[in-house]
Formats: sequence, structure tokens, C-alpha cells
Amino acid sequence: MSGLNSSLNIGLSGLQATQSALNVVGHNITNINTPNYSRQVVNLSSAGAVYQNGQMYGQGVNLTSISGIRNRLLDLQISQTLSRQMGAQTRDNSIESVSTAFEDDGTSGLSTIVGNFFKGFQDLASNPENTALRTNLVGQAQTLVDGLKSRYQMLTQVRDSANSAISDQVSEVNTLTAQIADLNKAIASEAATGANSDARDQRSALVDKLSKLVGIQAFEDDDGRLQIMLESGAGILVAGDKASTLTATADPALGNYYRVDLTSGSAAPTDVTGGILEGSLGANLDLRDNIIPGYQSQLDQLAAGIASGVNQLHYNGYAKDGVQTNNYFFTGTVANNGLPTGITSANNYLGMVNSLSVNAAIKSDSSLIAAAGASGESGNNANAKAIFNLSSSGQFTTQVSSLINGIGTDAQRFATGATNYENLSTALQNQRESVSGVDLDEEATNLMAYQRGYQACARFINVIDQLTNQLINNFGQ
Amino acid sequence: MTIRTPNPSANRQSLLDLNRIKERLAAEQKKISSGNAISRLGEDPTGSALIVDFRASVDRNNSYISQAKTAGYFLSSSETAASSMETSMVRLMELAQNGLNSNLTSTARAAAVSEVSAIRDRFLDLANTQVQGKYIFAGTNTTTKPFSYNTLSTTPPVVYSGNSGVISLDVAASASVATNVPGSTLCFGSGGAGSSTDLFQAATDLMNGLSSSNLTQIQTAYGNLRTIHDQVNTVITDLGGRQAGLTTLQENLGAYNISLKAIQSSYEDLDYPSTITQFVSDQTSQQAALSVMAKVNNQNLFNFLT
Repeated sequence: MSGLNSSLNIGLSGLQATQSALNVVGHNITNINTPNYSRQVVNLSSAGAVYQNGQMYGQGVNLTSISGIRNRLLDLQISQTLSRQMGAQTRDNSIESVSTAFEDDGTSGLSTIVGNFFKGFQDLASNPENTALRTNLVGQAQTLVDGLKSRYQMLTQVRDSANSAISDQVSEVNTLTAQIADLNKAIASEAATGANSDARDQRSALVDKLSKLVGIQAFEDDDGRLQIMLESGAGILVAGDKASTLTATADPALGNYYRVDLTSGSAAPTDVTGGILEGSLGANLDLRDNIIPGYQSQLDQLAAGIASGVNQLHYNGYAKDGVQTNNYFFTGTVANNGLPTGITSANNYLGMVNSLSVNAAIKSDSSLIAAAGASGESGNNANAKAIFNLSSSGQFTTQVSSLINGIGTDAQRFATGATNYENLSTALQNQRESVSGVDLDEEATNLMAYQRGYQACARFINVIDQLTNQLINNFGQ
Repeated sequence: MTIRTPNPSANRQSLLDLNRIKERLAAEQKKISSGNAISRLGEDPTGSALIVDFRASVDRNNSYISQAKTAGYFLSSSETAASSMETSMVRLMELAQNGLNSNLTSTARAAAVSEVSAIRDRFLDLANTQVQGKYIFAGTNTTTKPFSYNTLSTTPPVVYSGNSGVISLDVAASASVATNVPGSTLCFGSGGAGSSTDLFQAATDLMNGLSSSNLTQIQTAYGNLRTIHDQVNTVITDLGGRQAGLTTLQENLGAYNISLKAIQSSYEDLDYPSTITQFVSDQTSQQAALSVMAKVNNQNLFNFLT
């Protein structure tokens, strides 16, 4: 049979265990709003029994471990969902910002200014001698040029903004991957698997932040270190306790937009510009290199279609004085079929909008507009009608509505995607919360239980103390 | 089995739902204030594109209607001038008939010459009619005065500086209308200047016949005037027919536009009753969500511990 000292130690073990458990409860409560915090639980076990006088006597309680409650699969699912959510949101926000310029209110929309330009030719056809109608046509043409250019310029500004953001986001990625690598190192050196729960929580929060920037794939190795690679597989961002570095370099081949390189250790940098998908960085690259240029290309093709068609007819027409001037309505060259030099179908008429301008000679003298189709006939309107008829099939309106439909469809697609992924990530985060989150009712219950346990242990020690006192001070009196 | 629902997860879900309601309320508010069913392109890309197409079609039809009105204006002006000619021709024929009266003295015949001359001048003025600064009977040489007295020869009495060009305007995608009658057709007829179908020649012949009391010449002029009168009436009928066609076309285009606008409206214009109903419903949801969030967040076990 063990002695009173042994009994005191049993009580002490209870006090220590419950006090530690209370600390854990306090830790949980104070971190209730900490992002990615996983509630911690104490794992208690009875202390090993001692054999005495043919009996096994227990020695109290041991706190064997404090562990965080988490589901690693959920963490990975959340990071992937967050990157898609942010990708869709970033795309949606940018497209939404440009879509207003393409909405058609019937007074200043793209379709309206294209229609008004051709209507200017139709009006002129009804009275080709009229100087006011010629001046009006020049004005409508300038409105068309300005309208196309302002929209094109606005799209360029969105690309520029995306490009600027890329540089900042590359720096953020580097900061996050370095921090994750440091935490990987700390986790790999933990005494037992899962012992450093707080480090894992911090790392989980960083991975969530990282995945909002870039699409990633992540998995834990045997030492608990998180290995992170780009979702496309184009490169490794974190390998154990080593983080690779992304660099953004202005590249003349990309029109001085940033090229993103990945450098791992002493290896040569790899161009991963096209390998960064999803996340806000991936979305900005997509906006800059694919989505917005697509809209700009459609504007270029629209402008080229109008300029080419109008110029070719105008070149063979006759001015107000009945003389064939062989000039173009819009700036263009004979060698390039009426289009400015360097603008070709081979490059999808890239740069057409920027090159579009009304012939300076016509701007200063509207009588040079070739409305007539025959020499010396001031009332002849054949050419003006022919130019108007370029639009009568509705091909330019169709191009405009196709562009509007494309922008709208993209906006809808990414808005829907953002909503869906937000729903999914919220559901997954709620699911993670249901596993790892701190519940105040639960903590209050634990608090009461451990408080009562502590009080009982203290009471037990008090009883043993009274027995010891009885034995020492009152025995034999 | 119970599912743990820690406070943060409940709040996250409630906040998400609340934000969604606010987003819907903002969109509904924008729609109600603008009257547009589509508040942004992404809401209905197909509808947005269709609205552009319908609006362009309506605008194109309106511009055709405008062209038809312009064409009608020119045709109407031509008809008015031709009708005035026709009226004056009736007077000429009356004068010719009087001149053919064998009881009339030479002096009396000569007295009618000045009126015939004035009528011929009137023909010349009408043949040089200008509308919006252009000579409507000059073919496509609209800035040149088409008719003038021949100063070089007596035949033909009036020369034509215009051409036989026809000015047409497109009044539909595949329809155009001639807006003029070349002056040579109206005044010279099929025979051309100086021929028996030349209005000015007939008037001049009548003048000469009356002046010289040459009944044969007066008779010939009278006969020619009757032929030319028929010729002018044919032109007037043609001009009237073209105008009638334009009126029908404008009515058809107008009716077509009403149909197009009705379809466009179905995409573009807001259904106020359903949107306002949805707005009120969302407002109720918002108030309920706020109330529930406030109540749930007040409840946990710590409130009951002492």
C-alpha cells in the first residue's frame, strides 16, 4: 500500500492536469475569432500503476498531449476553392468595370455611334450638295473614332492596372511562401506529430492567403512539411523549408508588361507567366494577356471592317465638285487596301483602333467627301448610298452585339463562378469550423468540468493533508 | 448525431446571406429607379445583345422612313411644279382654241401673244424650280440651272443644261425610289428639244402662229400641246404613284418598328410589379436575418454561469 506522500502526488497530478486543461480552454476561448485556428483538446491518461503488496495502485493522471482538431483534406479543398473564388471575383470585377462602357442606352452606345456614322452617309445621299450634311458626317465620323478609341483606351487601362497588380502580388507570394517555409521548418522539428498545432494553424492561414493569390496544389510530407506547387504544375513554390522566388520583369516581348519567372535555389529562372492559374494573380495575368486583348481585338476588327469598306468605296467616288480625288475617308494607304500600314488580317488588325483617324484633308474640307458615283454630277449620290449600304446588312451591328454579348457572357460566367465558389468555400469553411472551430458552449462546459476537477483534486489534497496532520501532530496524544 | 455549429460559422453563413440580400436589394433599387430590366451586361448577355440588334433595326427603319420622307418631299415638289405646268397648259390650249376661231381678227390674235409669252416664261421658271438649293429638274446636275432661252438660235427655243440622271434614295434594305424626273423628260418628251413634244417649242409655235395669224401653225401647236399635256399628266401620275408607294412603305416600316419595339421592350423594360414585390420580399428577409443574427449572438452558456 502506498503512503500519504504518494497520495499527495496523485492529487498534485490532478491539479496539474486540470490546470493545464483549463489553460487549453482559455487558449481556445481567446482564439475563437482567430482565422484558421483549430480548437485544441487535452489528452489525459491515467498514470501508470505501481505494484505493492500484491496490488496495482494507480498514480494519478498524466496529460499526454495537447492536440489540434483538424481535417487536412478540408484544408486542401478550401485552399483550392479560395483560389478559384478569387480568380473569378478578380475577373468579374475588372470585366464589370469595363462593361458599363459597352452598355447601349440608345444615345451614346457603340452600336449607336456606328449607326449614326453610316446614317450620316445616308443623310448625305438625300442631299449631296448640302455642306451642313457633309460637316455633320465629318462630326459623326470623328465621334465614331473617339468612341472606339476611348473604349480601346479604357481596356488598355484595365490591362495596365492588372499588370501593376501583378508586380505587387508577386511580392506578396514571395513573402507568404517564405513564411510557410519557415513554419514548415518549425513543424518538422516538433516533438511529436501534430504537437505544434499553433504553427500548423498559422501555416494554414498563410496557405489560404497564398491560394487567394495563385492556384496551388499542396500536400504534406512524412515530416508534416507542406509541399506547394503551382496548380498547373509549372513550378514548385515551397519545397520543405525552402521557398522559391517569383520575379516580375518588364519584358519587351510582352509590350513591356511583366513576365513572371520562378527561381528555385541556384537553378536558372523559369518563365511561369502562362503557368499561373486562378487566384487574383492568375486572374490578372488572364485579364491582361487573354480576356481584355480579346475585346480589343474585336474592336480592332470592327474598326478595320468599317475603315476598309468605307475607304475602298470612297477612293473611287467623286467629291462635291465632281472630281475624283482618289482619297480615303479614313487614314489609309493604297498599298494596304485602304488600311494604315502594318494593319493586316494576319495579326487580327492589331492596332487598327489606335491608327484610326478621319482623313485630315476631309476634316478641313468636307466638300472632298466623295458622295457621287460619277464625274461632274453634283447631285449624284451613288457613292454615299453605296457606303451607307455597307451597314444595311447589319454586319457592324452584329459585330458590336457580338462584342457586347461576349463581355456580358464573361461577366455572367465569372460572377456566377465567384458566387458558386464563395458558396462552396463558405460551406467548406463552415465544415472546417464544425470540426476545428471553437464552440463557446462546449468550452464553457469544459471550463466547468475542469474547474470541478481542480476543486476535487484540491479537496483530495486537503483531506490527505488533514490525515498527515493527524498522523504527525495528534498521533499518540 | 449532432453537428457542431460554432459561433463563427453561424455568423459567416448569416453574413454571406445578408450580403446577398443587400446585393439583390441594390440591383432591384437600380432597376426600379432606371426602369431597365437589365442593370448590367452580365445579368442578361443575350438580352443585352438582342436589345442592341433590335435598337439598330429600329434605327435603320427610322432612317429609311426619314429617307422616304425626303424622297416624298422632292417628289411632292416635282409634282407641284408639274401640276402648275399642266394648269398653265390648259390655259395655253384655251388660247390656241380661241386663236383658231376664224372670226377672230389678227389684232385680237396678236393680243394673246403676250399672255402666251408670259406662260412660256412661267414654264421656264417652273422647269428651273429649286428645292433645298438644288434644281429638281436638272437630272444629277443639280447645281446648274437646267433651262434657259436659246440665245444662239431660234430652234430649239429653250436649251437644257441638265442631264438625264436619276437620283434615287434607298427607302428599304432592298428598295429604292427615284426622287426626280429629268427636266428633259418632263419638258421635251420623247422627241427631244425642238421636237413636237417640246413644251417650249409648242408654246413658241403658238406665239408665232398667233402673232402671224397663221391658223395652220396654231392648229399644229394646239395638237402638239394636247400631246404634251398628256405627257405632263403621265409624269404627274407617275410622281403621285411614287409618293403613294412611299406612304405605304412608311406605314409598313412604322408598323414593323412597333413590333420590333414591343419585342425590345420585353427584354429592356422592367416588370415593375414583380420587381417591387421581390424588393419588398428581400427587405423582409433582410430584417429577419438581422433580427436572428442579433438574437443568436446573444445566446451562449457563459450568460448563465455565475
